[in-house]
Amino acid sequence: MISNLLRDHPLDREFDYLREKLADLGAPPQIDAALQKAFRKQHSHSGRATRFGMAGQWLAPGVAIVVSVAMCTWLMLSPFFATLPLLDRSTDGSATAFIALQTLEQIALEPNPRLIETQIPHMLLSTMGVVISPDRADESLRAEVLVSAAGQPLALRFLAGSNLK
Amino acid sequence: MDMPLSDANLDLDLLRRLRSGDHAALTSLYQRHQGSLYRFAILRAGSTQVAADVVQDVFIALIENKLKFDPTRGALLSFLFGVTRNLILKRDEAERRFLPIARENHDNDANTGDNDMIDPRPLPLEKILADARAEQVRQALLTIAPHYRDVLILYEMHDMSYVDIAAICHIDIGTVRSRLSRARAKIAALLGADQTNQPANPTPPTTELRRPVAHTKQEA
Repeated sequence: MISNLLRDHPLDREFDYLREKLADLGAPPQIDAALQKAFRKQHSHSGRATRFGMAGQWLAPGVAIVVSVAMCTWLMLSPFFATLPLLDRSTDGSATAFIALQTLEQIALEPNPRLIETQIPHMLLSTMGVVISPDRADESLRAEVLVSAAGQPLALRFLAGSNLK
Repeated sequence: MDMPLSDANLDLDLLRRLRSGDHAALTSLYQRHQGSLYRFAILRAGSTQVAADVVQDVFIALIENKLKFDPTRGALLSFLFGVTRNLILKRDEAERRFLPIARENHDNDANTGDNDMIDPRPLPLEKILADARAEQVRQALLTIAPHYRDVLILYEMHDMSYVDIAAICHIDIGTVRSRLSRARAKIAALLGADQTNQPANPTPPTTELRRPVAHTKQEA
């Protein structure tokens, strides 16, 4: 048993010796310079992001309010909305509100929109994701579609009596 | 009065400060761990250039917050050893793609249970130790297979516990024990053969008495 232990001691001593010889060995100094550079790069980015983030945090609500007010004013003063008789109809319960099919800006800028009354088959609605009872799949809904001069649908509303909940 | 932080807590504190942009924390972390990682990488890869590149990559990944260190799973140094080892493995893998076919044939022939021994490849290595005895041990380490080398270096040179080595190398503790035991036996055989000027013989001399690795280090 003692001979076994003694037999292994030289190996332990060899490792101790190697460890001792390597003890002062460190990474070359040029790594330090590369790390400093990486650190500066990383934190200049995050510093800018933080500064922008803080400024944005304070400015965002104000900017949102100003933009909203400007949009509403612009829409109310727009000749299209000022002369549109259709808005009244949705308030008396005879029609739903308009569902925009294009952006408000695109609708507002349309020089010559037309309103067309039409029938929309339930099947077409189901392709748009509206849940339709299968036993009423062959029925249709009355709707009004606002179209541009070129015939592009701009907005849509359903009329009273069309059973759309 | 401020209590001194334990090593683990100090590392955590430095890491937190590093992430918040504290330059001094980077310096402290680097000074604390670069030596160990560099020495591990040199013995593991056998090249000072590879070791330097790998240590740099480890710390840059730390700076750029690309490493997912979980302090509940071990110390930062163990984690960094694992990252270092993975980077070296990736380099080994890339290097292996360019090995000549002759080497593959040699590996196929070595099916006698000793195919864990690999030929020492010529490495663009500066002589880092101006000491024949230490250099002999370092060369012997390079001769054994990498999965034995990992375990042996971490245990013998860095005092890592079996648990830490298991986590670093992604193996279980039983495998750590067996690899350590076999690695020591191989190194003992290599050094013994070298010391008597005999050709390296993968089979230990029959007169050599071996015992299991002395488990004097903390296992948990």
